[in-house]
Amino acid sequence: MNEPMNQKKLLQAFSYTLSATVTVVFFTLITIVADVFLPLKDWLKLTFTHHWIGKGVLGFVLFFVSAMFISLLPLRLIDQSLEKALRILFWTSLLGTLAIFSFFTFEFLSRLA
Amino acid sequence: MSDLLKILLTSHVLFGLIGVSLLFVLTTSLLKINPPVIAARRYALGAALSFFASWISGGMYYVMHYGKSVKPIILAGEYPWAHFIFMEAKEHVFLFLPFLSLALFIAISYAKEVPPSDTLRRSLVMVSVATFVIALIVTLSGIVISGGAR
Repeated sequence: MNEPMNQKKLLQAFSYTLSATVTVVFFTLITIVADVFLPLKDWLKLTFTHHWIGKGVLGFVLFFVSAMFISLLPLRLIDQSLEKALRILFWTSLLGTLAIFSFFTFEFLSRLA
Repeated sequence: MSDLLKILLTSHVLFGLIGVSLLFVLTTSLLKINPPVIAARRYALGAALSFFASWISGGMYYVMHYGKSVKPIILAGEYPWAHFIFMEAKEHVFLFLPFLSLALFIAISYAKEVPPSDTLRRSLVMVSVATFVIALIVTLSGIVISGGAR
């Protein structure tokens, strides 16, 4: 296994890759849950004037806060840790996209039924 | 539609297209055996900034105009699914793009410090391809929504 030449940079890259995964999961879940559980959508509207603005603001904050939190953890990383985090981000982003499109397609078809 | 709304919509589309184009260039440059890491880093940062700009301009247009004026036209037309499926999905999936691009920029910044191994380069390519494909789906959804409003 390769010893990283720059542990600090590696930890930064790892933290932001993982926080992007957390953010993608958050956007996917809040999109679906807020459409099914309307009090959440109403709370987003009430707090941020529009549910979509609320999701965006919360995701933006989550991205940077989770990256900061992960970078504070006492992790001993190697190059493979970043590779693994990138692969997780790859699958999460594709599955998140598929989940959101499938959800709205299913919701539209339910309206027709 | 007011001049401000026209500027916002045009900016949203233009910045989005710049972002997609930069992701394409980024992906092809990462596919090289010896990728130009410094240039790739710039493409990823450019894509992230473009998507943030597209997010702000498109978001203002969406909140100020789309719901009140465009959505009712689509729903009353022959293609209400253009809103129910494509707009609903697009407005949420779009939110992935700035963060995926930013994560790519930071990961490539690490790769700049160390010569990237073949497996690290492949992992970067995977995320870059996924981001490009998602951006392309978002762009095509925009075309479907525009068609639904005509």
